[in-house]
Amino acid sequence: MSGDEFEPNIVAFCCNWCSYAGADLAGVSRMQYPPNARIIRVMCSGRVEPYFILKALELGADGVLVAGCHIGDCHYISGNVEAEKRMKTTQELLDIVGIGRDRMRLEWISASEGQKFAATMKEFTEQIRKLGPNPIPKQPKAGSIDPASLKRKVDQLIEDTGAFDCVECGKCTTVCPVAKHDPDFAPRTIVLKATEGQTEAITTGGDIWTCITCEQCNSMCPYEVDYSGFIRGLRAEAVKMDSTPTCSQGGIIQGLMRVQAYGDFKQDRLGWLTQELKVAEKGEVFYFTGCVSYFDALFNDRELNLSGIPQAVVKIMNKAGIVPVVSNDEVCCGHDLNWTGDEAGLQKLMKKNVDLIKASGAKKVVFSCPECMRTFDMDYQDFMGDFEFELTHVSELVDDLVKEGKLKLKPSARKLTFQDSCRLGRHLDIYDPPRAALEASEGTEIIEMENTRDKALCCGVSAWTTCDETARKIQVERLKEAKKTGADCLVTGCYKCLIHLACTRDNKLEGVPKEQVDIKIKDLSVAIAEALE
Amino acid sequence: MPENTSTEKEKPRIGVFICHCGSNIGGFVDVKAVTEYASTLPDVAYATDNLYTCAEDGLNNIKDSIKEHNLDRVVVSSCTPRTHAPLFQRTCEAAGVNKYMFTFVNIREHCSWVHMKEKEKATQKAKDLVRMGIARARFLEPQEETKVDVTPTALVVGGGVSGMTAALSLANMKFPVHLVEKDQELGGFVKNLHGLMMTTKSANETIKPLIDKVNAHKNITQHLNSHVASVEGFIGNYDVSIGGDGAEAKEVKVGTIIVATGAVPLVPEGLFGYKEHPNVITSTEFEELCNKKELPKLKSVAFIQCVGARGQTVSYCSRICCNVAIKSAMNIAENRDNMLGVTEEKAAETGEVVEEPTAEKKAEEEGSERRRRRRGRGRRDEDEGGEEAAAPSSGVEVTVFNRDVMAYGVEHELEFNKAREKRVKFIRYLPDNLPKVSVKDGKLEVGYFHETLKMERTMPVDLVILSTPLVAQPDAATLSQLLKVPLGQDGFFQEAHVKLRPVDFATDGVYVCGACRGPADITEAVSQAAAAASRAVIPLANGFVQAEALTSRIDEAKCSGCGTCVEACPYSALRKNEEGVTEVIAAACKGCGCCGATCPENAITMTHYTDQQLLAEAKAALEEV
Repeated sequence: MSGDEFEPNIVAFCCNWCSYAGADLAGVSRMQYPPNARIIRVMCSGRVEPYFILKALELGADGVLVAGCHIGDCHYISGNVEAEKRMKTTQELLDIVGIGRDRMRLEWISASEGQKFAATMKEFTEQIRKLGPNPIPKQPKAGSIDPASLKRKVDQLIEDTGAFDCVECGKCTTVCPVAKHDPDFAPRTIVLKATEGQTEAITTGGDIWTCITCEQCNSMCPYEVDYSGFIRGLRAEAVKMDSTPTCSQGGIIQGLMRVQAYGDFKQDRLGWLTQELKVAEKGEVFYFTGCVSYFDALFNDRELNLSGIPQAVVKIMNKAGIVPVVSNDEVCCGHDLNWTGDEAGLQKLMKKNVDLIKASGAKKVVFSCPECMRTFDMDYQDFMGDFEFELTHVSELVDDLVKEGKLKLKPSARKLTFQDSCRLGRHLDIYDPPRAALEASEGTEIIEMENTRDKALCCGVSAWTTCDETARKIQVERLKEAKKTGADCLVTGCYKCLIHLACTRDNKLEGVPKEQVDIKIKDLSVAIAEALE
Repeated sequence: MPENTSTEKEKPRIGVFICHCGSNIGGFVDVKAVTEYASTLPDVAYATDNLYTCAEDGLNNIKDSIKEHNLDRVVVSSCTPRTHAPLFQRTCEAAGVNKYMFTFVNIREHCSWVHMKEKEKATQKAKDLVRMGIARARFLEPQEETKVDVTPTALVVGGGVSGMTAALSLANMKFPVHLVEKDQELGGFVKNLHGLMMTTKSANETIKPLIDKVNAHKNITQHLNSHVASVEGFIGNYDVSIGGDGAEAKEVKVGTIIVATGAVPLVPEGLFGYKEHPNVITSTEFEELCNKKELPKLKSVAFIQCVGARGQTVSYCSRICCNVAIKSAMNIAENRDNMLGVTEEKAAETGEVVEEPTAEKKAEEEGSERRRRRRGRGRRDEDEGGEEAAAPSSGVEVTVFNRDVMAYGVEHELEFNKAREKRVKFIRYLPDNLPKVSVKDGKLEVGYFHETLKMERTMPVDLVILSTPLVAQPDAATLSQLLKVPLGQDGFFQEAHVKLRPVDFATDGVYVCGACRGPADITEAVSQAAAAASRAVIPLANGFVQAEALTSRIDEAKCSGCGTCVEACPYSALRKNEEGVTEVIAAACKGCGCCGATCPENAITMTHYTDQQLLAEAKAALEEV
């Protein structure tokens, strides 16, 4: 669009029965309104996914309108009620990420409200004109790769991950939780195909997106082949060949991460920070909270109390006299982008986070999210060399504080079982500290599950890509193990273990009696904080 | 998202037809420029403009171009799909292109007509809209409409007037019917009534022929003392389990279901001295007393209308109570069938004279009645003098306390007038100043404020009859859950569309009639029942149902069976199969796409409105040109 004045680009999702017809009526009545919107017709406003809004913004829309029938008038009974629920979540997410809810609007426009359609168009165009151009910068394309370069890249990857050392013993497949439920999948065949030069087949096939990168295979391989690293490397090449994963929740989480990576927004991610919690802007200890506010908004219909996790961590630190630095300018660590093939996105986020921590003067960074910690510890340091600041998991911190006498936990008679998350356990090798931190409260008994520590079963989903039937089976298996211990509560080491296992527990599962999986699930930090005096 | 699936498959060949619509579009959009632009876009094999694409010429142009340019998909850029899509889709089909390979771009209602003063911008917008349509067209896939067989049997729930009528209608059309009644006999609410409106026959006499016909009909299987215990399936193929009192459940297979469970009168707990005094009763209890001939000796009777209705216990008007009260008032005034129980022996005791109207007198009365009707409005003037004949023959004073009398319809309004001629008093009260029922010296009395006279008044009465609204059956919620059909806020079953689909539910295959969808009199219940039966018979007679082509599809490998979509579906068109994976019941799906938007695993594809198609449109909308 030409002219000096900024002309907003608006995408409008209109339902066929009311709002699209309302737009028709505006036309029939020759009601003039600004030509800025482009209508996309859907049968029902309930069809519009939160991700559609974010994707339109990512693609350069300055504003997005969703219009449906008035509540009570939906052609599909209640589709607009679903739309309302989803758009509320979307608005919250837009606020947190800093784009702001004003860039989207939900309107009910009936087929007889041509006037309202025209008025909405005028108002919304003006609203967006005032907001100015959408500041999300254009994102770099994944690029493309020719077969020869791909071959070179994969050969390098084989070298880096020791894939040539594979002797086809098949131990990886026997422990692989995905292979157990999906006989077509085997870690070793992916490696073998690569070493046989069938590079294109593996990068465009589905297997590399089926792997949950839990590293059961890594920990079992007698020749120390780095399967998960191999998969991660292949994914970075696969996206250049238009092979993309199916992301949970339509991909909105990765979308939000890309906005954080490539955009420069004032977020609102400290909604969990209540008044009694003491935090600082500068100091020795930096608490890296992870994406908990985003998850909390996205899963607000489930009783997960994700905000309780950072609250618990700060409470623990305050009790021990530590006032941690907590920053609203923290961005996502990039874990999920990195594991879905977007290494450039990871690096953008990395720079922002590391600059932020350096500026805070922190000597120690504490993590409650194992994925963040893994990403700092392994991926960031791969790119940037060793950090001068120390990386600590909250359980390690608690363990140390208790041993040094700086933190006392009150006794509590409780029987717990602990879920080693793949990132915390097999990736970072942190097994004892969480148990010690829990048992620091006298009377706490930890009953181990059948598969524990480096044999622990995964929560089934990684990087929001593999939420499928196999994942559900893995989750059910894990919940059954937990329930069988007789413990009062399953303590999880990772936000995502909590989200995924609770999701499965609360769903109606065919053929799985409720009593076999029904167990209370709590995050590690929350369980520790319960025993604060 | 892969941009080009076209490299793998055969390259799409898109035809683009851009309409001037006379000067409707052409006057404000440079159609030639848009056409030229369209022809430069990828995968466009042919682009042209028409003066009127929807005219014979334009349609032939589409057909010919499909053949000449070997087009496999068509984009028409003109007016609105809401009126013209079927026409162009038929044209595509006639030329051998699946109708779902067609995309509509609206550059009239959404562009030329609303940007009449900005030709340049309107042209730019039209180009953008056409580019979006072409982007969508690239990802279109042909769709087939499928058929599902129908079990040619119906289920009717409720053995009252509506249910019996519906069952008979279906049975007469030679379809087997299962009729489920929770009571031990047929007849529903009406069987307990005494007199009915607009007829001198008793309630029992009126419905007896109906019951006899149902009893005699070989196509109707009755299930008395029974209820619907479970329902599985969808239109054409329901498995229904019918539970009985202590008996083993019976399983039946049916194709369609009619809900005719009726309603119950509100019990006016705590209102107007109900239950505090034995002579304060509801209109239903009055009917029962009439049937048993146990009415107390009456000199003065008061009806109170709208008890618990219209903003009190319930918000709605129960519609039938005014006419019921008029009917009862008339019956009392005329001592119809000697309902007041003044037998000759009793009369001898009390010294009252029982007048048995002679045939002659009856004929005379009816004659005068017809004359009155013909005279219409002029009648009142003549009545001013107060004819003796107009006085209530029973000598009982009847007063109807009302907020306003709703005697809708020709016949009822005349009944109302007749009642007034019989000296039935209609006294208006306002909702913020209700009549008060009290007892003084052991005698019932009604205190009220006369709105015209602006006076507080008291009236001694022998009997107070409270007209309470019909309310939903207490077990309506259970049935609504079993059938997965909605209840409105008042607990009545809610039809698909208040005006255009009054006896359908939104869920195909289930229909509603009678008082279970709101208070109805017998006349209305019978017409609704006949209507419901005629709707319910369509799938049975066809033998199949045409499933919506645009349904959601589930990728079983991706589905984890979490059930989120099952809850989001307004039509209960999703269910879990034996493997714990969700499946779409194609016959029940309406294609709204709510499930697709809610699936956390992206396992659901909403046909014809796929993520890929919609996002391609969004992407094209925002492409920098």
